[in-house]
Amino acid sequence: MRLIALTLFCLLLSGTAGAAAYFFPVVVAGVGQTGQTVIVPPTTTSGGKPIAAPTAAPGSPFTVLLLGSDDDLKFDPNHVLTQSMILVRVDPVSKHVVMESIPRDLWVPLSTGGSAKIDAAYSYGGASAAIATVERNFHVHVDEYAWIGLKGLIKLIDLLGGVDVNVSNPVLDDQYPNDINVKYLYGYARVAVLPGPQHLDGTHALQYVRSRHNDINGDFGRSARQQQVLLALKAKASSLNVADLPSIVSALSGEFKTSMGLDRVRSLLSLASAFDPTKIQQTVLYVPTYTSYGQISGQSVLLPHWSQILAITRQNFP
Amino acid sequence: MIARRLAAILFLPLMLAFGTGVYLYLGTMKSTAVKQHAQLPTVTKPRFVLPGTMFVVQEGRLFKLSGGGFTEIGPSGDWSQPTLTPNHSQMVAVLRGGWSSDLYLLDVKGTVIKRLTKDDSKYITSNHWAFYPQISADGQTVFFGTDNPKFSNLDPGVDLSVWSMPINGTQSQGRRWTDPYWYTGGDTSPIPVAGGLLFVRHSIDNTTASDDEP
Repeated sequence: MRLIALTLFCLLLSGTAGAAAYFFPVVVAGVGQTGQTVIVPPTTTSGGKPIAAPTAAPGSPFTVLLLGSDDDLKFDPNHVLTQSMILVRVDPVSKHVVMESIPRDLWVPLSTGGSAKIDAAYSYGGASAAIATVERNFHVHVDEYAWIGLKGLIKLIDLLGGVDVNVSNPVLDDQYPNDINVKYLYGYARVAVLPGPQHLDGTHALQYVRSRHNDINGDFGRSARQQQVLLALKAKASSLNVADLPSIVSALSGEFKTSMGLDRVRSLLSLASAFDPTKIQQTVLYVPTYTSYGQISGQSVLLPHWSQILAITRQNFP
Repeated sequence: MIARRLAAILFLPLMLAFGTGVYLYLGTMKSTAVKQHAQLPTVTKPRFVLPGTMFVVQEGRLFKLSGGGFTEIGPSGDWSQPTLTPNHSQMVAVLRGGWSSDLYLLDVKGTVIKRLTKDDSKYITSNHWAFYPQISADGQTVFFGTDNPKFSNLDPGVDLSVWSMPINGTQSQGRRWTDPYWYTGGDTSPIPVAGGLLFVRHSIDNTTASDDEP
């Protein structure tokens, strides 16, 4: 009897050790990349009094600020611009998702001081500055953030076997930056993603979401394509399970940071399959309703129409 | 005492094997999205047999489907958009390089007969794309989309126009049929018809375009 008990105990111990070894990379990444602490200065009223930020209770809707950056060697890795900023509201109960893309050239007051294009907020003060800038200008509370570098996006999409998108019009570009995994970082490549159903690997998916030179909608067209690829990723992610976590962590190694804890990341994975695509609402702040083109200090910028922007944001993020 | 030592010696490899087994078993539990990627059609079998012959492309490789079996044809490369001549003896297909793509005339076994266009250049902005080949009813002319002319050498305007060229002639004998709406991707999918041409035009109507989400 004692021998049987001892045998079972030893098998349990070794089995646990085997599982721990399997998930060890996830634990390491969980410590290093998830649960990033972000200290966001409180939003103040015009009288200077701090407004208490609401916190999302478990199971209640929450808002995530998605950030995507060039992480090539052209820039100081700690001071990169955010080429993509997307506010996402997730309601786990109603399975409703709202996405609102913030144009990178939007001219706003920064939380770090002064005014600039909003993509500079992250370069000046990291995630906390990006979140604070968005919260103060858009009057929205951000519960979490997630940042991904471009190489991480490529690896993640390749890990999932590519994404499937329906391309509405040819995406052609003669000046696409050829700066990933090359020595000379300032060269160009040519891009052609043809219309219709397309299966894109990581490299071509990145070209699809990053190209903007030959798009009549410019950066807005790119924002719409980014949302489209996010939804395509969601469709692939719906088939993932816990056993995939080590592979995902390995793909995103060094290219992903988030304030979300492992619990929330795991719950999002499990929710991915439950979201109804017809209940996903997408907003892009196009010219002329929400923004207009302008020039400030020699830069081409987007000037916000705050009454319209705040109205749609209030509607999207109640 | 000896029995205990013996048990300890036997337990260690047992524990090691079991732990390793758990580790490997968890690896087999990965989802199909991560574990499985698309296989070539020569590996899989079609579910039913169709009469005739069909030419398909998967990941840049040309295949002939006939009698329920796939056969890879053609040289290696990034092939796409094969289209047959009216007499079904030849085809035109697109071969894509890093910065350009070209049309090639092949026989139905995949042997290259002739390169129809030459769109590559060492100067990046001098490269061109050629897509959507379609052959006229008389088999003499191939219609296609190409980014020629470009909007200007300084402004990266790259949009497809519909062109045609004689299959037995040269690219210099080409004729432009359409003038694209700039910065939309242009005109694609030409289909020659009696007396004219059908094609897809990508454009934007500023009077009715909505600036809400697409």
